[in-house]
Amino acid sequence: MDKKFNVEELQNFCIITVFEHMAAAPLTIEFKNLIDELIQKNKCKNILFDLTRVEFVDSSFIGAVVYAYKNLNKLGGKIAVVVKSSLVYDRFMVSQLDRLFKISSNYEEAENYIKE
Amino acid sequence: MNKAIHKLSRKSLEALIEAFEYISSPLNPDEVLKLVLEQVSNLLNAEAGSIFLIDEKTKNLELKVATNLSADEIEKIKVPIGKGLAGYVAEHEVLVNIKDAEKDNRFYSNIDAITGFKTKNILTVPLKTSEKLVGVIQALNKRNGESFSEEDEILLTEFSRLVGLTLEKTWFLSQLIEKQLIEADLEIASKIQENLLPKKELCLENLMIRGFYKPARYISGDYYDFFVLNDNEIMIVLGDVAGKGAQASLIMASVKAYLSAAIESHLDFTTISNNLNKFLALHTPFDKFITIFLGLIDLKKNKITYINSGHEPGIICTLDGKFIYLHSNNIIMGVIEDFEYIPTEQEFPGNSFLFIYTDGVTEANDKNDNRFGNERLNSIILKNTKTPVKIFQELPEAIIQFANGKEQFDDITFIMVIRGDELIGSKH
Repeated sequence: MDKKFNVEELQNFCIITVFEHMAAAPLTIEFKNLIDELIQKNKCKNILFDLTRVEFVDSSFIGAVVYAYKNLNKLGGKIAVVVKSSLVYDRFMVSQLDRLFKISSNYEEAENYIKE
Repeated sequence: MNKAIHKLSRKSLEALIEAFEYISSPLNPDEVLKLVLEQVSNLLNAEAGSIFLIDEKTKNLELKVATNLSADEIEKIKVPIGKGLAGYVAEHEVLVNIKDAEKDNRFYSNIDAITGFKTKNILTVPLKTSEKLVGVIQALNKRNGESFSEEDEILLTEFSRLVGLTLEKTWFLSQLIEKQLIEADLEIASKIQENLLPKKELCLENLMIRGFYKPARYISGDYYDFFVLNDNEIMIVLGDVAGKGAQASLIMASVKAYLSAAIESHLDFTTISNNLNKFLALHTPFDKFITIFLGLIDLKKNKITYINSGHEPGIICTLDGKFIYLHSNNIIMGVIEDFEYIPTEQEFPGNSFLFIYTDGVTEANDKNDNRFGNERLNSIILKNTKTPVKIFQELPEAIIQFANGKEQFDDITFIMVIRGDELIGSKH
C-alpha cells in the first residue's frame, strides 16, 4: 500500500508530509492519530504540515490541523502549513486560520516561521 | 452430507435431530451457545463440555461457555491458536479424541486446577460455519467410565456442523436486528434535527426567507434559522459544523439552543456572536469548529450587518444581475475563546435577494470527482435574478443531474432572503 504520511523529526520541529491528494474524512482519523502520537510522546512541540501534494481538504481535515494547533499552543509550540493547490490555500484562508498560524505556499517561509 | 453420518445408529440420529431442533429456536447467539453446551452433554453422555470461539482481532480462542465454570472464570480463559488441545484442533482443523488426558501433552490442565474438575478423557472437534473455522467444541469425561467412541466422534462432528450453521444464521440475524435498531434510532434523530430547523418559510410584507436542507446521512452538522427580532430587524443564520454525523449534529443542536436563548435575552448582535464563539470554544472537542454566517437585516435601512466566520461568501444578487459578495470577515468559531468578532455592514436593497449556502453545494461531486463548483452555482443564480424562488427547485435538480448517480458526500443547505413583491411573486 502506498504511504499516506511521512514524519521527519528534526532538531526543533517535525515535518508531517501528506501524500494523499484528497485529505478528507477517512484520512483524517489516521492523520489525527499521528498527531496524537507525536504530542503524547513529546516528540515535538512545533509541526510543519507539508500539504503540497494535497489537492482537496474537507472540514474534518482542517479540524485535525486546528486540533494540532490547540494542543501545541497549550504547550507553547506552534504549527505552519505549506500548500500548493489554490483550492486548498483558499480553504485555509477563508477560515482565517492565518491569524493563528502560518499558512504559506512557500516552503522556506513556513520553515523559517517554525524555526523562529 | 458426510458419509460418516450413515454409521450412526437410529437412536443417535434421532437424538442429533432433536438436539438440532433444540438449539435452532433462540435468536441470541449467547443463548444458542448455552443450549449447545447442554446438548453436548446429553448427546454424548458426557460429564461436561466447553465451547471456544476465535476472536477475530486477537486470533485467540476465547472460552465462551463451559460446564462448572463461573462467568468470571470463563472470561479469563484465552488460548492462542496452536497452543493446548483446543489450539491444536483449531490450527489443524481436525478431530482429536484423547482417551487419557493426563498422558497427552496437548492437554492444558490449568483449567482443571481452577474448577477442581478432573478431566479423564476429552473429545474435541472444530467448529465451522459455511465459510470458515470459528472455534472448537469439547466433550469431557464419558459418563460410563469409558472413553469416547467412534460413534461419539461422528455424532459430535455432525452436531458441530449443525451448530456452525445455526450460529451463522443467528449472528447474521442479530447483526441485522442491531442494524435495524441503529437505523430506527437515526431516523428518530433525523426527525428531531429537522424539527430544529424552521418548519416553514417566513413571509412578511415585501420579504420571504426560506431554506433548503438535504443531509448526506440521516443527521448532519448543517444548520439554518431565522428570527424576527422586531418590526424592522431579522436575524438569519447558516452554519456548518466541521465533520459529519452524530457529533456534528449535537453541536448544531447546541448552536440552535444557544442562539434561541441569546435572542430571547435581547443581547445585541455582536455580543451574541462573541458569546456563541466562546460557548463553542469551551464546550466542543479540539478538532471541532463551525463556519457560520450570522446576518442582521434591517429592512428600514436596507442594510445587512453580518459576521461571516470562515464561511462561503454570501451573495446579494440585484435585479440587473450584479453580485455583491459578503466574504469571510472573521475567524471560524470555536477555536479562540476570547476572539472579538467584528461585523461588516452592507447595503441590501429592495428588489434583490441574498443567497447563503454551505460548501456541500459547490463541492458536490460527480463520478470523476469533478466539483459542481461556483460557476455552475452562479449561472443558476444569474438565470433567476428575476425569479429567485425557482432556485429552490433548479439548484437541487442541477446538483443531482451533475452528480449523475454519485452518492451525496456532504450536507447540502442554502437559505435565501428575497426582498420585493416582484421577486417573491416569481413563485406564482
